[in-house]
Amino acid sequence: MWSYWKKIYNSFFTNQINTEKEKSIIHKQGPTVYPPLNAVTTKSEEVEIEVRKERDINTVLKEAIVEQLSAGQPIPVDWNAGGDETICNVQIGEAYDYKKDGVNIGWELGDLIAQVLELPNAGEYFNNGKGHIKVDQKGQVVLHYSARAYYYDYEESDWVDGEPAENVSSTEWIPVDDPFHLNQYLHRVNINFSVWMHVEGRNTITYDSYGGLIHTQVREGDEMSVPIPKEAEAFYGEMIRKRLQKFEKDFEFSEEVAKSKSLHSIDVSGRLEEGGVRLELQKSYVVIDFIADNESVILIK
Amino acid sequence: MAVYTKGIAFEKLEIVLKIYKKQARSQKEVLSLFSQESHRKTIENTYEKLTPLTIAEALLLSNAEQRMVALQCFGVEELVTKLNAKQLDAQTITKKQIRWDEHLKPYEHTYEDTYELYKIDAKSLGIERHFWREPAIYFVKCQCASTDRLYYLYVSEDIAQQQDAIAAIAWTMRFNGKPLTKQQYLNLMYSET
Repeated sequence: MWSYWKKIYNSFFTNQINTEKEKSIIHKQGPTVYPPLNAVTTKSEEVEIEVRKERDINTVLKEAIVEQLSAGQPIPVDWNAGGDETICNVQIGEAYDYKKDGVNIGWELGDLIAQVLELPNAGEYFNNGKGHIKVDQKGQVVLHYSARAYYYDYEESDWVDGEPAENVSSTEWIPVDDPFHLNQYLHRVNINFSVWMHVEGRNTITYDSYGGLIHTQVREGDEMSVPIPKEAEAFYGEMIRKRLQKFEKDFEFSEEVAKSKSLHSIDVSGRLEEGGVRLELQKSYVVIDFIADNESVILIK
Repeated sequence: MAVYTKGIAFEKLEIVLKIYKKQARSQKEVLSLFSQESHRKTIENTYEKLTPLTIAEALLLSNAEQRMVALQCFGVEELVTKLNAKQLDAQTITKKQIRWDEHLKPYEHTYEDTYELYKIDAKSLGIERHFWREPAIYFVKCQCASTDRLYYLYVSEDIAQQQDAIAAIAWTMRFNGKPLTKQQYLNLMYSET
């Protein structure tokens, strides 16, 4: 009770007399603490939590891995961590979201790998890698992998273990007719294109990630799904892929850079507009060394 | 099912329709944005009679993004007028500039620069008084001498309480991370002229 009146007294007089005092009191009280965002669970998360209660999550993961490997299906993994996010893809069969007993195996393994390898999610750290999940002779789940990492040291104002040496960007307009009659939706829906790829070395081009091409975003009105035929995906996909390969050739990096152990990526984002497609292409290049080259780490004992 | 305007989702169809009404969109245009039968019927039956969104209705939206989109329907002049902004102070400074004419000859241009300090109180903003404290927004209005554009710049409560429009405009500028004082600002204006 006393503390209540003291608070009223303090806030009344400090507010009236001196705003600096007011600020210091607010500061002492500290910020409001909100529950973490993940404290709110979705229905599917609730199912997963129930499963976790009944069975050890690692047992479910191990069973799923053994099933896949026994069926002759490899389990490839790749990650692109840092820059404010940790993306770790674990492919089970054809899917990245394969579920067993209500547990999302890919997501759980992704979390486990991020935890074991201590993958960064801060803006200035970057860690790219890939590998395969296997089971060794002792029955342990093992990740065979190679990874490269670098970071930006704010104190030294310099990149450490890596150097994002060159960046090239370009905005292009590709005139194209509207063979799939998608322009009729443009007054209310954004129809976007998104493609990204990682290229390793000079001659060993591999598409590490190749995301879905067309994404729609409602801007005005209600949520009518825009019927985008598969042929449209193929049509625009081929057009953008061709442009992307030309862009890749047009902007070759220096000989020295190309010879080094390098990693570069091309990001393409675009939008369907009246009369054509507007593309923004960006090629960025990083000189980085391996921090792990064909190494192994135990994920589950 | 959510409805959208400027890519922001709203739960209530009526608010989005009021925004469209404020934007003076025709019923035909609005109908072209909706595909659900229930929405289309509501638009056909109610849109013509619907009143445009008011500032008070926009301010009542609890979601900050929705509020931002809704408030974008109003021009600054309209906001200032409808929210009963009260003028606390107005001061005019006479300034001189060297300008060049069409023959590239310099000439002296004298003009008057007026600064106005305003307050919008809690009642107009639809905010309740917090015991003895009355939340309010303070801003200074000024005009760019080159482009004639009007600017409305936020100023903090403690500087606004001085009820001095020049001190307020000085506060919006920083030197070595610190706001200018009125005297520093006037000296700089002298240097400019």
